[in-house]
Amino acid sequence: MSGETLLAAGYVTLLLLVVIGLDVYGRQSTGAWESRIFAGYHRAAGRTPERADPHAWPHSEVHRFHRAVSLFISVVALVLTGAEAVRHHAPAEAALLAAVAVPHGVLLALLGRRLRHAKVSPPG
Amino acid sequence: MGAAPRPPGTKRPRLIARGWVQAAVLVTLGGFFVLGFLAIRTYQAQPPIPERTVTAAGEVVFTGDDVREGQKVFLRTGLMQYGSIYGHGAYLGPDFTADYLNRSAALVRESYGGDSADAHERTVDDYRTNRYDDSTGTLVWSDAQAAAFAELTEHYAGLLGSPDGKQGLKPDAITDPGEIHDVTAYFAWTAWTAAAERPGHDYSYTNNWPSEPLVDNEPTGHTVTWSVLSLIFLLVGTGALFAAFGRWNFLGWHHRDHRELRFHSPDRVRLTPAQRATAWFFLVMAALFLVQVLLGSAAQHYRADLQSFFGVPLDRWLPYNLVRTWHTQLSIFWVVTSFLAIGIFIAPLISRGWEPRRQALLTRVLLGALVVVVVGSLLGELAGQRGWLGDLWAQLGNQGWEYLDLGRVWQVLLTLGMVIWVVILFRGLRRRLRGESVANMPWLFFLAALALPAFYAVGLLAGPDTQFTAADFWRFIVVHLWVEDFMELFTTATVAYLFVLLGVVRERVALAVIFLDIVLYGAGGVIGTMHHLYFSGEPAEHLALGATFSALEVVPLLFLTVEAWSFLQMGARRHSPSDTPFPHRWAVMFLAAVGFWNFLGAGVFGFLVNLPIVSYYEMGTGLTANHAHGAMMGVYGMLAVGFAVFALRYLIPENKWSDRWPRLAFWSLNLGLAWMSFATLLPSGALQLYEVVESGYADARSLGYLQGDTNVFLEWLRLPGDVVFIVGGVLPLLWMTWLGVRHRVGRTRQPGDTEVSLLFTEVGADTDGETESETDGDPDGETDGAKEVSP
Repeated sequence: MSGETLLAAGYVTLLLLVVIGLDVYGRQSTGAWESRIFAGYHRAAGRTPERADPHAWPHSEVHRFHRAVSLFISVVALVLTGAEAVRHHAPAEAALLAAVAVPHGVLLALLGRRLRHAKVSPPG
Repeated sequence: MGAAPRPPGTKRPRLIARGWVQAAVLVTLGGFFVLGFLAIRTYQAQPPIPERTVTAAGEVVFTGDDVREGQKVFLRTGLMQYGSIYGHGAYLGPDFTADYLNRSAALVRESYGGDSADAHERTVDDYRTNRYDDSTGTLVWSDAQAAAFAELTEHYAGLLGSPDGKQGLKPDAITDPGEIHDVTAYFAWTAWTAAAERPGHDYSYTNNWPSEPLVDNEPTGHTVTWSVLSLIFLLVGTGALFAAFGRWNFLGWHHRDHRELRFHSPDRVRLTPAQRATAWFFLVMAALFLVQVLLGSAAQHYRADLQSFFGVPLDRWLPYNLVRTWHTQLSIFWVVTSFLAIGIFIAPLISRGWEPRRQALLTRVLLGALVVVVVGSLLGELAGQRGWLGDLWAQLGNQGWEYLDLGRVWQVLLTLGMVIWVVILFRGLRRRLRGESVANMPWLFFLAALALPAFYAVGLLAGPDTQFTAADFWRFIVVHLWVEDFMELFTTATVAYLFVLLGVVRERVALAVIFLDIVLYGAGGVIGTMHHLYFSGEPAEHLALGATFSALEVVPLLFLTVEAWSFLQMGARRHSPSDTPFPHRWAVMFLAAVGFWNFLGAGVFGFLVNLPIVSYYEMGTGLTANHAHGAMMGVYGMLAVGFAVFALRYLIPENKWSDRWPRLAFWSLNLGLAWMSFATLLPSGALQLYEVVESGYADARSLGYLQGDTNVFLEWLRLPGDVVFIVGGVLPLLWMTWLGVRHRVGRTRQPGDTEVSLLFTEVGADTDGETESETDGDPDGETDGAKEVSP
């Protein structure tokens, strides 16, 4: 097995973590008050302001933007795997590349569908 | 509390607590005091240039003048945009410091018998023992080092004077034997400083950079210690800020805002003549952006295929060092063009619709001057690198310091252009400034603008005669402090003001955000500038302070995200039922992108390469380019485009406006940038870093490594993302800015319009019924219910 294939497989796996990480980051509330930075203040003030509605614009569209970027990294990962498979495709290499590509494909299918159905309710 | 009319002739009082102002002033003064100290230490501790370097027998190898002349050859021919010195410069060609050190040490070792332990020991002794005598200005080299110098002069004659090109430089780039000798002396001198131990210390002038096993160059104790300590400071700093936010309610957000907003339809907003004139600025901005990315693709092509551009010998006309010079210069030019334009665009809004006479004329003069400087300096760089300007190369041509490549005359003219811009802003704002406390938003906006020419001018301290270490210090005052602190400050002030003018953020909150920005960036960013200078010949204190304070810079990046969120509070505002929809969907989305790239490109990718121990191996590899693109394009690029989209919304008539173009540009620019980063820059940079650790720095930066199979594969993988970026991102933007010029709304504001509501928004009754004395931008007596609720 070529070293390059191993490196590519490792990197594509790392990208899986990046995609998941960015997706989690993208799910964080974009309402200023929900930041954990204010946890101490909430305790001190004893009152919590209303939460920002994640379905209201621009929060809805910012969430969609974050998810789209993270999913796009899965697309990058799949292209990279495909290109690597063209260069090195001994059976073991092809199997390894397929194995690291599958989770990206699954993520893309699952989250991609959610992304397509996400409503952003733009202003107006 | 009701709105009390202010007696005529008195100033509107400060809207924010005195503590904010004091904190901002103290932190800024403290930061600059330390920076001043570090500037003095730079001159005291930079490596000496020996007046003569001789063999033990007294034979002169090269003189101090040779070294100084060599630096001029290096700068004039654009070699800093081809390779680098001390890791600073471009990343296609070799790092000449590491390259010379590696090649000469290998030759010396060979002459001592090759692989034996004794040969290694003698080689290490030759390089590490500092035989420079300060009193006579003489450096003594071994015969083997002198012989290596002669051999390497031949080597660099072959590399730099190659008649075939095909290595990124134009064919026959440097052929004069005297120039080859001098530039080799320059490389040799920097290599000497990289291994010879500082008097009184057991590490070299460059804190043992680069990693080079042949001369036992490895990270110093300082490098490791301050890496660990800076991580601790980061954790403590973040914790302290979280705790402080728990203790004090800094930003004054107490609960949801219940004002009702009614956005004016853009076609109801009457523009002033100067505002109309900014349409041309945005067109020029988009055109420069297009040229910049095309040059970027040409530069990228050299990394993928050095031989030719799909059969065309590009290096004859557009060698790598020229396209990279233009690419980096234009990255500043096009972003600054947008910043200048948005400043002019919002000045009349701040002045409640008033604009002095001839403001539009001045604006057009500024644009003309800008075009002259941009075109003149770019052509100058071409002529300078080609040697067409004779002795005027540094004045009119290519001064050659990366990012400050433009000739000195152009540098002065650009600074003066920004001064004219400040004058334009002052004329437009003066009525408003007269009635305001200096701590209020109109003054902060003006002062933030004033800082732009002031700090750009610092770059003038780096001339062709300035020794590299000191020149790099001043260069990074521009590259880091000007860009990361003062453009950031102007950005924050501008974005905050836009939202205040739109009525979606209260002035008090916006002020708090600006002051918070000054305090946080002042605390981390000013001294943090030194994180660029760990290994460029500065003493260890630059490394210690740079590591500590730049780690703290991550804290404001974290907070900026919070700040962006605060602006997104607008989504929580209830709009009155019959209103016009919020007109700035895509401008706001570009700001959301700024927040995202601030987190990823500046924060994550920046911190990835920030620790001294990482930077020691990483500097000048693809990971630096990864951070640079993610931060410069991701933050400032997106912002510049966002400003343009904001203004174009008013410049393009409603019936010609379509959301299709900004939407396409938004997605293409962001996805194209993500592709560039994750398909190429991040993986190839990581592999290159591995190569540095594995085989030494010189090897990982060699053309041989870059042309290796795997690296070339990754470089080609960038192509689809770049096509998306250019075709889907830049071209629609250019089209929109053209529409802005072509269909600019004709009607401008007349004196009689002063009483017509100027703001884009009208603010309905505050449902909580609380009002504040006076707020910004609303001639109709906008109410603002800033309520103080004690924690």
